[in-house]
Amino acid sequence: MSSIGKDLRKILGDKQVLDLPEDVSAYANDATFYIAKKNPDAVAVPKTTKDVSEIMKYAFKNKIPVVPRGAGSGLAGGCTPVHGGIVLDMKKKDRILEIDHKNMSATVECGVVLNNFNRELARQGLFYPPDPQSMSVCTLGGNIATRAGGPRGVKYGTTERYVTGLEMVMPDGTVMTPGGKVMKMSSGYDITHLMTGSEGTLGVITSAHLRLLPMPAAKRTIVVTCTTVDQAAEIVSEIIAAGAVPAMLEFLIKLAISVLNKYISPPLPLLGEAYLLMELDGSASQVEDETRDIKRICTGMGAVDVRVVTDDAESATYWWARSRLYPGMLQIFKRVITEDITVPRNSIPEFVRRVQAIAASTGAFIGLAGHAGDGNMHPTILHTEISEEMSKKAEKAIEEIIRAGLDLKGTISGEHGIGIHKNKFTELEHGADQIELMKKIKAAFDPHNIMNPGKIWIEEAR
Amino acid sequence: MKLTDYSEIISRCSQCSFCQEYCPSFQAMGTENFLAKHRMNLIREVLIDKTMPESDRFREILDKCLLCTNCTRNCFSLVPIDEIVIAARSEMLKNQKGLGALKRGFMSRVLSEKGLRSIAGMAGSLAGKVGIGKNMPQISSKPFDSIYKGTIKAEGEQRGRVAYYTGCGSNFLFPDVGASVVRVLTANGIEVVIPENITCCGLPLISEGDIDGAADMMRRNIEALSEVDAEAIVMDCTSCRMMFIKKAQKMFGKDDPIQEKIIQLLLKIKEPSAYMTEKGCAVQSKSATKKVTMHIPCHSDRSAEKNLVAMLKSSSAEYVAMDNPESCCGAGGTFYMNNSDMSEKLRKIKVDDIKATGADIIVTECPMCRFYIQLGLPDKKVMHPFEFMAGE
Repeated sequence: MSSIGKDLRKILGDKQVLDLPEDVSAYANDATFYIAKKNPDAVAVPKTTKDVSEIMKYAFKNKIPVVPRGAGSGLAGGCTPVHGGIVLDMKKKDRILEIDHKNMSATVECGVVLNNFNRELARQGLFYPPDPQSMSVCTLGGNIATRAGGPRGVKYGTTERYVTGLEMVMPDGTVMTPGGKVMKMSSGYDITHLMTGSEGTLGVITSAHLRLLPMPAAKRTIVVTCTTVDQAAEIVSEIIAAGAVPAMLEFLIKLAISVLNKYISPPLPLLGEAYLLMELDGSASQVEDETRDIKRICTGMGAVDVRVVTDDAESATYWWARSRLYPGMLQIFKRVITEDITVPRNSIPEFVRRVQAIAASTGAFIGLAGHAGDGNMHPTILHTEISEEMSKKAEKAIEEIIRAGLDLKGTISGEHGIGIHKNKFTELEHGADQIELMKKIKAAFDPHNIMNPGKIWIEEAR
Repeated sequence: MKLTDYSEIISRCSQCSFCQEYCPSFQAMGTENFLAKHRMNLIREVLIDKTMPESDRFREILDKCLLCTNCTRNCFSLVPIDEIVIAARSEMLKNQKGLGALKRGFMSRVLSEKGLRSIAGMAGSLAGKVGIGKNMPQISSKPFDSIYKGTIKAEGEQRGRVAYYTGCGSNFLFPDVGASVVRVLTANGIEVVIPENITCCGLPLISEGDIDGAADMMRRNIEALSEVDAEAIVMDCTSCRMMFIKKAQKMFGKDDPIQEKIIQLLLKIKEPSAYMTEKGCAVQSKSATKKVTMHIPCHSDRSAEKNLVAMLKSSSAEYVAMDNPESCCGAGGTFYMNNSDMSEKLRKIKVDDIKATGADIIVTECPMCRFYIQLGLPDKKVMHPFEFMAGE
């Protein structure tokens, strides 16, 4: 039993602390266990903001690293406790505090699972668009901490657009409530949005005010079969340029569809090399008009097939299967490393070509999928074996993909966050001056560097 | 089904954590140490790589798996999580002696055929000794197979002939279920033959890690059922069906001649109402007008429900779907006997969902779900769908 565990028991009681090795090892990594895993000394399971505050006071006084954690489904090693210390498992702080129709705003605790939130909103005819594909388990706190997004980014943007206020605990235990339910705010620095996407490095997000939308009246799924990957990329560009705004516009290669077809009912005939999966939403007439426009564009550009799915149950199988693409690829491959480079949307065809060239030159097997509609691509390094040689190829391919993305004026992460997966590339993206500024901001929040240390940039030796 | 056979497959777990949506153990305990994913990590570290000792805590975490198979059914990386847990328990069983082993072996013996008969009298005392046996279902003094034997003729014109594989639930614990299945089938023109020499499906044994014992029983069943002259073999228990349909082939070597017999049988094994629907029987309940809802047992393959729901809807009762009908009730076979904290939490959620429907009758195929839900819901009636069909 670690002394940290013993101390935490005094603060929280026995039931809210784990410190046996068999227990804490469950918190050693997120879905990127192959990058790093490290057992925390103890796991604390706070149920109230006061619990969090007491833990932080203790950690601050004793300079112990603290890593907040939602579902642990992240893809960047953001919640991997690389320096040990305390993991805060926030999943039991999971109440929906208020759904306020008059303000179209919800107040939620950080541990609420996104899909549970969605279910409650659907019952009330409301809509919260951000849709990271781990939505069946991921928490709203984790979403906010990573500025998470998903397919709906193309029309609705990602999490930060919906956060209007927070309750948070500072590293020294101080509780603050930046922002609120107001629709706009020009008062002072925007602490709310500084916290949003801070990956647990500045403080602990304990609850949030989220902006809501009315549920769209109509929805429709369209599946486009394209002869080549290039053609699919060109069609995406054309759809965007034509001013059409699908709610989701997903890009998938044949390999992905072949895995997902087991879950798509009826399965999609594999007649092309690349596929676009779209959802249109809005009023019924809007959806009709957009369907017609998109059909015309796709057919005009030589798509093999444009399938308008009218059956809701069938549509659902596509989107459900799509959300499981990441674990699904493990049916075929031994390891799957997913990137989330995002480029300006007119650069998608060029980016796709460059990724194909990188695959050819490095010998890495790179799958392509992505929320192409918003420029967010997921080049995925697919390992046919676990070996040093394969890892080297993958590393080289990832670096080249990142450089290609930056060269096209893109960003190295559209929605996963940086964590430890890409922290050696943030300086390349932002430049030394910006990283220096980020470090100063962190020091202002967290003078002892106890909040999730080792993330976002490469740290100096401790 | 040796653990070493899984050492590569276990690495397929991507750690995506999607099993948080499905794992009742995680849902009841609330922390990731009790999550399906973490069991895979621990089994690899302790029993395959041997980088961690086989500690009490490790055993406890493994024992807190209900083997509901919900994670396996929904794992997109296709990791057979429940099988790996079973293989790990088998590995541990080899290393275990004393009271622990007695406790493990106890339920295996209780539900094996011979064991159950002979143990009925002494169950209380032995169970008391190993600290289990509280809230155990009563073993009937008149098991189904002491009343029904041989061939039971169809009423009216004969439409078909089935063998009824009577699971331990319908034989020893709730023989009225067996009687109802026979009554409904024969009333619909189906001749029913009760196969000789059948035994328990073996699930209680593999749950405790006794893979060899379960394989012996399965072999006996396969041999016995292969002898029967019938166009279908009906099974009224979701777990028995799972054992035959999903597990039987994996229990024997690829070259074992039993495999051919299993394949032949797989074509014939059916849920009784599915068979009746195929035969065009009118599946109707005689129950008085009441509200009825259905709990779907974890081991259901999710295909029987369609027929059963259609049956409930065509009855004079009002069918009300409960929220999350598939969520685990906490019983987990005999799991609840050793893990009452966890099981009671899960049952509370289930009972609340049931109460919200306002139903008077809850039907469910699994005898253990039925027993355990009934304990938590004493003022309602929980029964098998065929009892409901037969008019209770």
